[in-house]
Amino acid sequence: MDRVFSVDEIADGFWSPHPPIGLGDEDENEGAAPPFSSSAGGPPSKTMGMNRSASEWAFQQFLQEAAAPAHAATTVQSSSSSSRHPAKNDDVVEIKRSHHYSGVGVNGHQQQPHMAAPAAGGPPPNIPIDSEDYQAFLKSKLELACAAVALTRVKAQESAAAAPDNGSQGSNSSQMGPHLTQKASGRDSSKLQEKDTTGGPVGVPPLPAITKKFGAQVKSTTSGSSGEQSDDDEAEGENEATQTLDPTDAKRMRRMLSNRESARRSRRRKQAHLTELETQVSQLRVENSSLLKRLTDISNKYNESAVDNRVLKADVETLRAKVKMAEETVKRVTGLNPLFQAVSEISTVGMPSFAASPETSPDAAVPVQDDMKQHYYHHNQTCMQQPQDDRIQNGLGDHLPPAEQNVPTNSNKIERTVSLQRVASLEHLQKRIRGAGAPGPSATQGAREQ
Amino acid sequence: MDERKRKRKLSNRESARRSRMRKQQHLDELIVQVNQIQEENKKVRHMIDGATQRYLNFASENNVLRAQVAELTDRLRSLNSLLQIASEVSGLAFDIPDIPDTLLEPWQLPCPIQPIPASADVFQC
Repeated sequence: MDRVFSVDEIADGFWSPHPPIGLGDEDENEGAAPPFSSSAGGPPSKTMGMNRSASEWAFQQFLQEAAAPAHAATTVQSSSSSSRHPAKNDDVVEIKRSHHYSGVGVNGHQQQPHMAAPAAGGPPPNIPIDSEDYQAFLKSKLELACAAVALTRVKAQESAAAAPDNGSQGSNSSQMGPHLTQKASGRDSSKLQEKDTTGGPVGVPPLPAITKKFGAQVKSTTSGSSGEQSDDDEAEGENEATQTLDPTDAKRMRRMLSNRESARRSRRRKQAHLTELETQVSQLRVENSSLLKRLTDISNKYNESAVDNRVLKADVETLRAKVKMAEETVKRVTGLNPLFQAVSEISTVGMPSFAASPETSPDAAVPVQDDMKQHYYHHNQTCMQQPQDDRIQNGLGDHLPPAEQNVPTNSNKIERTVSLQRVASLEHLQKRIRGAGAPGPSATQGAREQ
Repeated sequence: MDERKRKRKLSNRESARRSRMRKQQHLDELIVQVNQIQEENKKVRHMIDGATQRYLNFASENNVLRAQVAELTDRLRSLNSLLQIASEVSGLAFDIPDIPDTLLEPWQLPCPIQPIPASADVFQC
């Protein structure tokens, strides 16, 4: 039946009589109920649509009584009650669940309390619905019931296939003990649990963790129960073991366990060391190859620069020689032809003496640049154009005094226009020079002239 | 039956020992390798530094040389121009030293490759 619930309704729904939905709904709820209670189908869980009065009755019964009414009675109850009005439905739900529980048949006496309740004709319908605190009270009771059931259920789970009473369970565990070494600790733990519970079948020992060391290294077994006990259960089994053995054995056992522990730690350390070494080796290999690559790069560069260096040195030498030669010829020329000497004098006078060549090679101390070659060409191109222009522009009469090692600069252009007027005055100058005698370097005469 | 068990026990013990030995050898080998490679890395690093240093020296020296070359070229060019003018005026033929165009393509200079240490005196020009 599909009805839209508002939030309040839903809340009430939990505590108000359950809407007459078919049994199927309960089953689902049951399925969805928390795991530990679902398998046992214990008392109605909180989410169940439950009538407070009915469930309250059932729990009181459950707590006080332990007797088990005839199984048949419950089934009759459930079938006849189905036609009653919704308030009764919870009985049905409970009976249904308890019935379900009995079906599971894990532990007979658990069901009795539930069945007893319905057998007593079910809780009187007229108990009024109480206030919040009653709910709280009920909840706490419910918790109690769930816990009790859970405990018994766990014990039920651990029991051997069919051994109901205590005695046989004890012998059973002893038979299991000797020949199955790794089960021993499991055994001990289950024995442990039995001691504090009264009845309860023997639970199947939880599967012992498989020990890591069972592999390569062969270990001689020292005491009966020893051999490769699994690490995880060790701590748990330890205190139980000491109880049964006398003090000396206890000491021996403890020492053995600690040795085992330290052996395991040392193996782990060794393994870690090994893997670490392996990674280190591979890392170093990678680093080594990259270093080698860098080395080849830098040595190539070095070789290139060495070659450049030699070339440049050779160039400088040749240039120096040439410049010297050129200077000689210039000197000779000026000697032969007085005309030029005069010019050179004037030009020396007119020429602003300028500093040595450094400014022409400002970027001499260039920081190392990878593209050394480009720089070289670039620098050269600029020089090439510049001198051509000068040559074309500075026509006759521009004459550099050979003595000074200076370099023609743009100032020559200005000189050009001036030199034309000077030609006229040249004549009378020559006469004076000839009067002075030996040609000598025009500069010295010039100097004397001024 | 007992004989076979004893034999197997012995062989197991033997194989266990062998495997331990192998493992130990492997470990020692690894340690040796690690040291070796570390040593080599250090050596290579050292060589790299050396080469870098030398390269830098050469590079800076080259720069200076290049500047000198450029400067000398300029002077030569100017002197040549002078001589040309002079020869035009006086009609005398002078031998004008040509500007070696090899300056532009330095690799053309057929000079044998011999290692030239970066000498200091080059800097006093």
